Amino acid sequence: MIDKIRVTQILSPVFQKGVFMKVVVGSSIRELLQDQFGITRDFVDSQIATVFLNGKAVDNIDRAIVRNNCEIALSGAMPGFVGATMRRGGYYSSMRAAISYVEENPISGSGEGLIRIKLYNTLIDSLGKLFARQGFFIQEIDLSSLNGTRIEPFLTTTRYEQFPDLVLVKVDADS
Amino acid sequence: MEKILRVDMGAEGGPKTTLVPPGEYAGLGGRALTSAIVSKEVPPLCHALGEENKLVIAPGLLSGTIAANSGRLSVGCKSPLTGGIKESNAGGMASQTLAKLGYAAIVLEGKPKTDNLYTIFVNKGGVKIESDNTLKGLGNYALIEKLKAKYGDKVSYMSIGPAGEMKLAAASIACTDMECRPTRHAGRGGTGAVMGSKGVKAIILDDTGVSMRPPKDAEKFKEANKRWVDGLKKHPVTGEGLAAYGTNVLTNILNEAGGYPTHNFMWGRFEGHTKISGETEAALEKERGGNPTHGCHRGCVMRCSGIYNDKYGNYLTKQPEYETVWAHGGNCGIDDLDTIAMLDRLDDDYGVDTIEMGATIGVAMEAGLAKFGDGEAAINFVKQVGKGTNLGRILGSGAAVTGKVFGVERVPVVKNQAMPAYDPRAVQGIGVTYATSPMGADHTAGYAVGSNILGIGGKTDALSPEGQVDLSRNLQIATAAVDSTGMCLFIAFAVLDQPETFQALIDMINAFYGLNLNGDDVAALGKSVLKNEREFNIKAGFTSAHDRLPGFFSRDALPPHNIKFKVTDAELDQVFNW
Ligand code: SF4
Repeated sequence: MIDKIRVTQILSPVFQKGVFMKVVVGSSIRELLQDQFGITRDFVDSQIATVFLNGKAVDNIDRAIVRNNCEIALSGAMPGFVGATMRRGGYYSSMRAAISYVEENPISGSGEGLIRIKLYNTLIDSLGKLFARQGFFIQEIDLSSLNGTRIEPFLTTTRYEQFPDLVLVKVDADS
Repeated sequence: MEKILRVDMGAEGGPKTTLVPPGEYAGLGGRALTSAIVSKEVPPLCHALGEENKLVIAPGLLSGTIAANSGRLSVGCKSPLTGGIKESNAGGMASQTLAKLGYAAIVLEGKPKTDNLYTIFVNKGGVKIESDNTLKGLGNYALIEKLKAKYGDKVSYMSIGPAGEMKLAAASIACTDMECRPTRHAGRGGTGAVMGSKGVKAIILDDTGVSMRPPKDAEKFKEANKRWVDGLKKHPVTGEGLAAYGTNVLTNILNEAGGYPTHNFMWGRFEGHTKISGETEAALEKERGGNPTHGCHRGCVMRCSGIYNDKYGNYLTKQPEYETVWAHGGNCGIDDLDTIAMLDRLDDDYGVDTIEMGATIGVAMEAGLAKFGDGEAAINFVKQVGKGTNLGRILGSGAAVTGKVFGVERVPVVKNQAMPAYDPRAVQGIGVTYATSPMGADHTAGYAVGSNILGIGGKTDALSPEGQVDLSRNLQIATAAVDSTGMCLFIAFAVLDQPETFQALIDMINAFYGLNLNGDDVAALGKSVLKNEREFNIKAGFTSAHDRLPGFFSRDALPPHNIKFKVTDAELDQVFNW
């Protein structure tokens, strides 16, 4: 265990850039967050205020489907007027209608897939810890950015033939 | 705030002061007051740098009281940048101090017959105006150091740098912060050039021996302020997110949305965004012994600002906020926080608007004067503005002038004022506000309390296509009202989500002034402010043709989502149709 350092602070650039996760695709974003990652419903509804799927702002996380190779970004509530427009299901969402996510096909086949998840602001700390324990894939170049940091000794890395460009990283840390 | 100080800078024999009661302006504060005085007293067709223009400095209705976040200052005039009416809003200590001294406004009028530079000192004993040409050419930092030797660091200063003295259209007015540094600026629209044209280098406000303004009903006021503070503190954005990361927390979000204007509005995403994000900036500030959680004036409970130290741990500048990091960062392809912080420092020192300067440098880069991403060139550009070289004077005149001089078509301005950090093709609702605000492209113009709470203009279906026009109208009305209270616009979030916190704000105004206002009255105030401003602009020659975005926004698709601005001219013309 690491004492007195904030793991997520060191991992912050990696989470901002995005980590890869092996998940069961075909479910909704809510199912992904709650059932696969084990995040409580209360946390999802109160803290994950802003969600992007492939760069589009999501209003309804029960309807938006997670597909193989998709990118999901998660953020807390944002300040300012534009911050307010980005909130899911917010009163001002029409102001950014041009970049709102529209689910064309809510029925999708399920199976294993790889997705990219980005964590921003308040969620880096809370969800970052969870992901660090559960493990996530990053590119070699991002792994090398962790060399020489205080968490390096606490990292375990695994390589899979299936994902030749990626490394599975777990952090043995509570702090 | 029972008096208005009028200073005739052009009077025979030197500047003359007159103290007058507020008269027909009684009960107005902040933007409501500046826009009322400018629209009534300034000939709309006058030259912005001429003797007929007036510079109006007004604290908000609740400034100088214990009300949290009430210390924002409004500065109004005819803008040398836009040619229309201007209200520019600043933090810092000046608003609280001026209000405590009992002034509803200071109005600078006329024009000196000589090129002498003046200081205006105001304390509880009165007003003293002195000519001091030793201050000529000083940057704001050196100026404040020099003035501190005479007046100390317990006073508030408002000042201009060399850009204001040169009367450049991007010039700002600096207000000192809690540490007595000139970091909070009335940046937009060239207010600093108007102060320069009046020959005023600095205004020194000394509230020694003066207490907070007393409310009519002290008990009710205290109780409402408690509800107000509780509301601000309990909200996840105003209570946590803003304080932890500052406004620059928006960089990653706008980038993710593909609405982060990059390389002079060419793309909606910037590759180097994580290097300059609020998350990265806050971590760097902590690491260097700075502080990512700091207020711009005493009495702010949200504290979105901070202190940025250089790599040796020495103070460099205040935490560059989102607009500044974008303008000098992604917009110019620069992904180095130290370079951006240096640009912020230079902007504050020479006294120029960070948004206008960043947008201008983006245009200069597009013109081929430097490569996108060249931080050294960007620093050199701003230094040229400070020195007043020929190129510097062009750049200091803003993005529109620079685009004309160097033959650039893609110039992101409305009414000649540079656009802030949100591409209107991605967030089309803000495009409506950029296009139609009487202020020129301004992100804060439609920013505040929602119509769902104020009930302005009836019910709006936010999800209909027309919703963007209706919302922009209602937000502009609400913002004009909030700007008149002296409240920081970041209260918007708490007020937006928590009707009881909005009620606390109205209760504070009522308890303070012994009034009985309701939400409708607040909306009426916002409408009357906008009406004054629109009328001034119409008389100054503005037509609906000025309420438009530059053509490239509807012609060129913005990657990565490849979208164009789709709101029609007819829809834009409905914004002020109430
Ligand atoms: S929230 Fe930020 S801008 Fe508003 S008063 Fe506080 S420090 Fe100033």
